[in-house]
Amino acid sequence: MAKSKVFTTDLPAGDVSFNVIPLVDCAFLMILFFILTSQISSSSTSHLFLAKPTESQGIEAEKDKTSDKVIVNVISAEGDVEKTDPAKTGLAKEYQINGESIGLGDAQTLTKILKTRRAQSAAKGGTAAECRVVIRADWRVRYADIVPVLTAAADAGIQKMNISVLADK
Amino acid sequence: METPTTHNQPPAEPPKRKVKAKPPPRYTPNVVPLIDVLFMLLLFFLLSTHFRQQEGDIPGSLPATGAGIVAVDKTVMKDIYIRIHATGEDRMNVMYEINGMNVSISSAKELYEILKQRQQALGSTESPVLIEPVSDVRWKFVVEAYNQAVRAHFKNIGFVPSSS
Repeated sequence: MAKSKVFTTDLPAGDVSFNVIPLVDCAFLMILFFILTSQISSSSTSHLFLAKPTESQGIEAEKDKTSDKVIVNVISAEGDVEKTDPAKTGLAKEYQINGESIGLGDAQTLTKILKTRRAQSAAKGGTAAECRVVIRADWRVRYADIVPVLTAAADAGIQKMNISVLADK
Repeated sequence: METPTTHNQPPAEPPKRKVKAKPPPRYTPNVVPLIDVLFMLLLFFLLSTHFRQQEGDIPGSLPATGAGIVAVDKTVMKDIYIRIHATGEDRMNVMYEINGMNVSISSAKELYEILKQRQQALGSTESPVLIEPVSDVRWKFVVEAYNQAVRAHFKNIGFVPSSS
């Protein structure tokens, strides 16, 4: 009977092993990819669901972290999962600036913080006119809860405003 | 003749074999814990990573005096009013009303077309566009109206305090 040419082995019977080096190489490469691409989230940008308009005119936000920008996050009371809640239709939960929470009716604190940030911007060498407020609101929040932010920013003397949206790729 | 006797002599030693020197012992590290830790790290990153959508900012301006929230230059008097009403279940739809028009618009595309026509008819991008949402309109529809006005190249866009 001819010797099989399909199944041949030079190993003695009972000695079976496999090479783990390529597996370890792949695992290291994947870890390297995740380490390089992950970023620690900033406290100034809270997790919320931004509006995505048709043919978005949003310009990619500048990468610099200067204090010229004051980001006001408007958090929805409809929760962290992106769905609407008929019981809380459009209600906002709170405002957040740099991780600090401000109650909905507390317009005075909001104005005070914006005035302080505007003064800090002027003190750092820029002009007061350089300071801008970025309104970063959940799409589900009703307009009536955004108005106090606009009013407080105008009262604080901030003239420039940005509205955060999801950009088209 | 006497034969020599050999039974008093000690037995001959067997010839010595040449023994190869054993190679020095090889110490290899156990890689199993390394692979375990590697998989734990990989699992952590796989579970904690989520890809963020790209954010952008639409620029605008606020009034310099701080009175109200309308920031438009009213020297050009032919302003465009966009009134937004919430409709539908959970206020998930809207109707846009533009002054001077008898029809209501429900889609962003139609809104853009009308704003573009108005801008071309006026021949100016400085005409003020005033957006007046009813207070319970969801923010995304207000942003949509603002976005379409920016897309139609209007430079003077403001918000009007809601009347209700």
